[in-house]
Amino acid sequence: MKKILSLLISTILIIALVTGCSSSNNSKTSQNGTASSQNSKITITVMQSKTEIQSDLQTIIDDYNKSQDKVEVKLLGTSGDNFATVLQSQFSASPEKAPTIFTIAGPDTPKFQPYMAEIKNSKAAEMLADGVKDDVTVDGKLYGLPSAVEGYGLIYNKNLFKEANIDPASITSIDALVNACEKLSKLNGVVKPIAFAKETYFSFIHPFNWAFAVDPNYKTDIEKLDKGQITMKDIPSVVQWIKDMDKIKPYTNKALDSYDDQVAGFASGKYAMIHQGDWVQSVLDQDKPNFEYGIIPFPTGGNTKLAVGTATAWRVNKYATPEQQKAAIEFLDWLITSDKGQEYSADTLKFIPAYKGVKAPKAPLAAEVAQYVDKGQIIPWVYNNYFPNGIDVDGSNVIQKYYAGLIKNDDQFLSELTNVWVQDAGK
Amino acid sequence: MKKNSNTLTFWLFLIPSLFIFINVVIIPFILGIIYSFTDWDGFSFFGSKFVAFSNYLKVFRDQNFLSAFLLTFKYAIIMVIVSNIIGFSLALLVTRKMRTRNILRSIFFMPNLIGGLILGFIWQFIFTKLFVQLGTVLHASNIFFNWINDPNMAFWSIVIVSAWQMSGYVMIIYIAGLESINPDIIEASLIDGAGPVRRLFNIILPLTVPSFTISLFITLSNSFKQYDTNLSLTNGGPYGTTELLTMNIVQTAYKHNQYAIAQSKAVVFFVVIMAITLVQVYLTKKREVEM
Repeated sequence: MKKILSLLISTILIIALVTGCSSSNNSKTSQNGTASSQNSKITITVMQSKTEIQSDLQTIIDDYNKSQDKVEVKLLGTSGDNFATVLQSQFSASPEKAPTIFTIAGPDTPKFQPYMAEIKNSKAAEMLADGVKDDVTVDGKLYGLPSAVEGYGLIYNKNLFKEANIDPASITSIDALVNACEKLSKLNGVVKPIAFAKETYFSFIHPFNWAFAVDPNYKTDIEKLDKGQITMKDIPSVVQWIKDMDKIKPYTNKALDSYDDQVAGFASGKYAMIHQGDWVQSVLDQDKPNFEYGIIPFPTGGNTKLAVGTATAWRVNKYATPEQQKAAIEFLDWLITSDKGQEYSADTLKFIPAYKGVKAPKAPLAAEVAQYVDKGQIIPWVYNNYFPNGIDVDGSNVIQKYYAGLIKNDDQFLSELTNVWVQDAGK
Repeated sequence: MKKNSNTLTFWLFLIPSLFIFINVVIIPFILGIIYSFTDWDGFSFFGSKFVAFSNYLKVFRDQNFLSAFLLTFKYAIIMVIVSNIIGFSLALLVTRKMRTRNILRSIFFMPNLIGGLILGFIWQFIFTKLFVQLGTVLHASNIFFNWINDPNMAFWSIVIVSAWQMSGYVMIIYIAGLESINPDIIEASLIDGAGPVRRLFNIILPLTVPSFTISLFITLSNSFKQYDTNLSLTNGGPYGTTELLTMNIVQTAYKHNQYAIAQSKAVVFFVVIMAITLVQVYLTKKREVEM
């Protein structure tokens, strides 16, 4: 008797387990079905990579849903760090059910190219700033709307600069920077004038980007480099960048600090400049340094332009229905160009606009970056679309060797960089 | 009738776990082997081509993979020796008649309760901050410097942290082995006049070989599969000198986007671990003695 009872219970349990999973699926699809048939509302889904704006974005979307009755926007959960991997699994399972709007930019973008719809008839697209258009254009067609831009360069301590009697506007060449470093290093409390962080992007990708960004022919040069027709030695701006790095290397922390230590060191006055972008604002807001700070470009080869690029861009799923795609573009236009959307973007989400004539956030670094964008004093993030996959790890290994003094001369530096580049591009 | 219902209960209890095991282990494993022979790009499997052994050829030509392999070997051998010696010594210590032995057992086992990822971050602080401070205070900056930034010491820092974590675990296994030795035999050896060294090598060690089989197996396979401490402590740095095998595989898949090649590496990795551990279990099993 007991045995039969336990048998019965376990059978029920298993059945419940199996049906439990499937029934929830059924109810989900039927819900969607009835929702669209009853009041003909189009449902679109949004999935984005920034965990820090998730809850703010939800309030904005709620507001949008209330403001009109044609489209229902649903914000899906985000995963932050391994966002691209999660997104990828959704697309490999079934592209039709993947999010209607998703965000992706940077080296992972080409993987998702087959799933992106061309952006047509968008108001925001017409207002897109020239410097960032490249980031979202493939073969002359627009495949995304940048949600925000970010800029990086040398973030400097205005008080220390004043104390050392340096005009930041005068730093338009590496020699001027070296001079400034010389003066700064004599100040009390300054351990090193310039600090880089050790993470792959901060130690290698961002600094190395200058070498290509100042090269007007970077597209063809990289193409030739990928094919092995030329080496790094044949690109003058790269050679120049290495010479410049040699000059400032004694004044740096040799990229030994982690990102947190680097920014904390800047806030405490240990480092007079850090090679970082406007994203450090949130960390500095917490540290509350007792000085003012600003951002200047890295003056390799006399460069005076800030490296500004698409942090991430909204993309529309090609496999969504045409109605969904249209609704998605309408929603993005609302978010970027409408008065209310602009206010939300600048004040709530703190997006530095990639669009001309759009409201910019107030934070000091963001405001300075927005000024550079407005004046057109920007050069691109070449690595977003043109650096080979995996170069961040391999390249940062090379540059760490360089800082550790294991690379004897510029020629060896150039050839090691060429090697990892060709190896990563060729795979 | 009785037999029938018995087999029925057997299957009813087995099916749920078998279902899970097949879904999360067997099927991905088989799929992985299939993927490793194609040019799968991480998206849809349909449309990828069969490429026979070309992925495997690329794997064996990959210099980084081979050096990661050698480093992992070195790491595993050192780890097996260090953590088993420490674990066994600790077990000998805490099976003596001491008042503090229960507390000591939990203290030594404690590191194992903290995840490797968190251990790595804690020790990263010790190696990068505390060591630098110690170096300046004690004027011994040739011993106490930032170990994580030195290729050689960064490797040893992983060994220290993992050995610290691992030895508590094998200690428990050795304690079980030591306590199952019949006290009569120990007493007999005492009466026969065997000293502590002789007793250790001729009585205790041969009788604890079954524990060695398990402990060696666990430390060997765990050291080969080391990932979390490696990731949080050094992240492969400085300049890629502490990149162990699993990290190399993850980098290949998620940094270089070569999913099929990473899968081939994983298959190679599996075959090697399986071969080594099987040999080890076979060898130690042969030495086990039944009382």
